[in-house]
Amino acid sequence: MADKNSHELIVVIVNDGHSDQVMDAAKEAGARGGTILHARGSGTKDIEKKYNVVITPRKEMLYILVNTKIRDAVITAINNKCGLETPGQGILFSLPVNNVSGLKLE
Amino acid sequence: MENKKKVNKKKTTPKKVNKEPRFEDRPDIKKLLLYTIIVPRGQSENVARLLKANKSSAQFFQIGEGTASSRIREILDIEDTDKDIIYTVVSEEAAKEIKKELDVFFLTSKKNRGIAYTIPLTTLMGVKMYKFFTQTVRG
Repeated sequence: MADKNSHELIVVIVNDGHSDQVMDAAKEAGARGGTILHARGSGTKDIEKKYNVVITPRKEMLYILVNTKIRDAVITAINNKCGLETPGQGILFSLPVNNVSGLKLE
Repeated sequence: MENKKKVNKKKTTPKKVNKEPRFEDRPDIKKLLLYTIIVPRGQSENVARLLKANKSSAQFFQIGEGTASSRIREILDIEDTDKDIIYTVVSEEAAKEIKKELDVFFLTSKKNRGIAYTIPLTTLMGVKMYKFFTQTVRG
């Protein structure tokens, strides 16, 4: 049984097509897998007004459940490869989770 | 003069003070959790049935994809990586029961392989919504 706060959920939001890069970085740092969700961004109102065109940037959201021990390593690896300063323009944060089930826990 | 005296004699009624604590300050308020369950595509109905039987008022579904590489898929004998993500808001007590049942559910078959976790909630808008999620009142 998983202890309380033994795991964290890392949420990554990147531009469409960069999820593979995120997962490669995460796996290198010790993560086992993740789940990809397709989403849309909303922050281009100025461009829409200027050019009178509706732009809805496609995004990919990744849920990566990791052990708290490797959280920092995974976040650093993802930020280096797909952070805000990179073409992926990734935003990432982690949430504490409890009652974890379904993972083969060490 | 007589009128003035009459006015002075009028008793001012003290304001009634509501001694009952506010709803959110009551000690019997249960903590709520966002339960997230990620299962292979097609298993969401079975999970929803399990949740409904364990004091879950509403379930929200989303579709996603797994990230397993083709090599791992071959090893695990999995054809596709499509996933169903199910969200529900439940009390801590209900979450304990759900976890017990999910642990069994994930072990029963290869098709049921998935993960689940809870995220603690800090704010909820409205007493009615709280009552709905804790099944104090049926929505």
